[in-house]
Amino acid sequence: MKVIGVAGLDLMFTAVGFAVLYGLGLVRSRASGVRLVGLALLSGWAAVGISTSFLLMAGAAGTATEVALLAAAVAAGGLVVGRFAPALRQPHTWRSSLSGAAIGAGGLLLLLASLAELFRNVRLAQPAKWDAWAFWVPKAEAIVYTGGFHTGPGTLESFANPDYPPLAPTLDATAFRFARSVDPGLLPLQHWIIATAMFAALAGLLWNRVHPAILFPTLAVLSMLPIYQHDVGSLLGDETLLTAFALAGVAAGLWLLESKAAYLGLYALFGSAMALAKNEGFTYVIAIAVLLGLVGLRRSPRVQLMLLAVPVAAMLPWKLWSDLNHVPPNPYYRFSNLLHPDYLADRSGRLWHTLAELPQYYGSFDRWLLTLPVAALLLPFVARRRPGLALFAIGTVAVGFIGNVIVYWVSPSPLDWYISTSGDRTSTGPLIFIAALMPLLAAEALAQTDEKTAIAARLATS
Amino acid sequence: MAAFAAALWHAPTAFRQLDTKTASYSRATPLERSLSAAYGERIDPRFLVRARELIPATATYAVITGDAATGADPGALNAITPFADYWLLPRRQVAFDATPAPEWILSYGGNLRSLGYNYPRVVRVASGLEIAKVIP
Repeated sequence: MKVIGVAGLDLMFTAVGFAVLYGLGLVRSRASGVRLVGLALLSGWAAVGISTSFLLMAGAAGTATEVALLAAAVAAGGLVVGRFAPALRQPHTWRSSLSGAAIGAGGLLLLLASLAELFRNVRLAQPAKWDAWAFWVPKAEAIVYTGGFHTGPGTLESFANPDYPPLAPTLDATAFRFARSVDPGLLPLQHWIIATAMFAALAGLLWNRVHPAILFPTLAVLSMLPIYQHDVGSLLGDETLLTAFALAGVAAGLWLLESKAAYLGLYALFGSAMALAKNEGFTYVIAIAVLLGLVGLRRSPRVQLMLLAVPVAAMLPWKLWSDLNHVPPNPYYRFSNLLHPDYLADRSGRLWHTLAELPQYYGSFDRWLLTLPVAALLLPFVARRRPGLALFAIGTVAVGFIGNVIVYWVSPSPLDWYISTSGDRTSTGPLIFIAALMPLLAAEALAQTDEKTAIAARLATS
Repeated sequence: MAAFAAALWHAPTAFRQLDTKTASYSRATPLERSLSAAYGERIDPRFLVRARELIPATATYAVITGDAATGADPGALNAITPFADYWLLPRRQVAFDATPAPEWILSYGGNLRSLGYNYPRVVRVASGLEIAKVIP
């Protein structure tokens, strides 16, 4: 019965997502609907999750009926907007071949095997990681038990990191509401469904641009990354952030390549989800917006403004709610300390130690296989053909790394303890981003090689 | 291709690790699974199960710790307060000196008498592990 409730929630997410994608012009036929069913589930998940968070900030309890009514309103909005939005044309850019199909099938097989193993693992799982049981899951439970966002013992605000934005607990609380049971054992399966939908969404989004011989092997690699496999079903808020980060990154990449507003709309949706998922999600999405602004300087100022305004607008209600309810700020770091040279100079030892310790969390094979070396190999080829995309990819990872270095530098927390307990998680966002972008990077790099081969062949025959 | 080859090479190890976790969950009862993090932190699970039985869902409680629990792991002393906060919901955890006073005290090696409350009922779960009803 509980599982049926969660399945009903996912069906609702998918229906709302289709309306959102219709609004963006991405789904206008049965074929595009089938191709983008994973993206529809995640678009609905993000849109309903964000709007439910706002509803809870406004004082609602977030009951299943309230969420269903809100979902209907979001879907209606998508359908109305869709009447005015043009359909997105996505021309098919690759030709099928037997060898390509065989490689693609091999990649798909590994991807499915990996997801099946993860399913077996999450089926009976419970919150096992410290942060999951110490605050992520209890926050979701508290939303249900106390009927929304409140302060005081046993409420959303009584657990560690009360300043963290509320999207992940809101989505988990919604799952409890639809299951009619506050059973944390339900959540790993729901998180696995979201992870599986992410792969379906990436495959659907990139299908017309990236040959299956590249698409499925690169997605299979993403699913096999050790850190990612530990994250799926862990019930950490990082899962929500990573899913949104991957989709926002790919949507932004497609926008840089094709300049189509639909992709910017997708970026805005998943960028807002990033901002409301974790504090660093907000920092990342602002950094990405600045990068996109720099990379896409020729585009209209209205677009540039929108890139920055959307995540800020998404975060603003939470900041207001936090101020009104006297939520204490996070004690781990203050970016304002960057304005105090003496403070920074006194702690220069922390900076050097961080620069020595942190790279292992980004480059280690046991954590990320060959993600960074392969990206480093591809990016020079991508840069020749698509400099904006290459700059965006490198810039996002670099900003993520520098941001983490700064956090460890300015934090008052004991450095070795702080790095050892958070290094894996703080490196995950930029690396999942680059791994999700890998199909696009590989396709662009290899397209350049293919073009060169074709020119050489033409010269040889002339 | 190099990245895919690395993923293929890594697959047997990754799948074996996931299988090991799956097997450990399969062997456990639903109650044991819900307490898996408590086992990981070496918290005595009997203490939490008894607390759930004794404390009504609407009540408040506080957790105190100390060195009176024979053989208690330092990790357990560190983890018991946040883990109880999660596992005993919707019971509300408050500070031991909160106003109004907590209705129950969970003592994981702590000293009940040092708090200055009267206890009409004290349940001893194990050496140094006590659950007490409070009369402020």
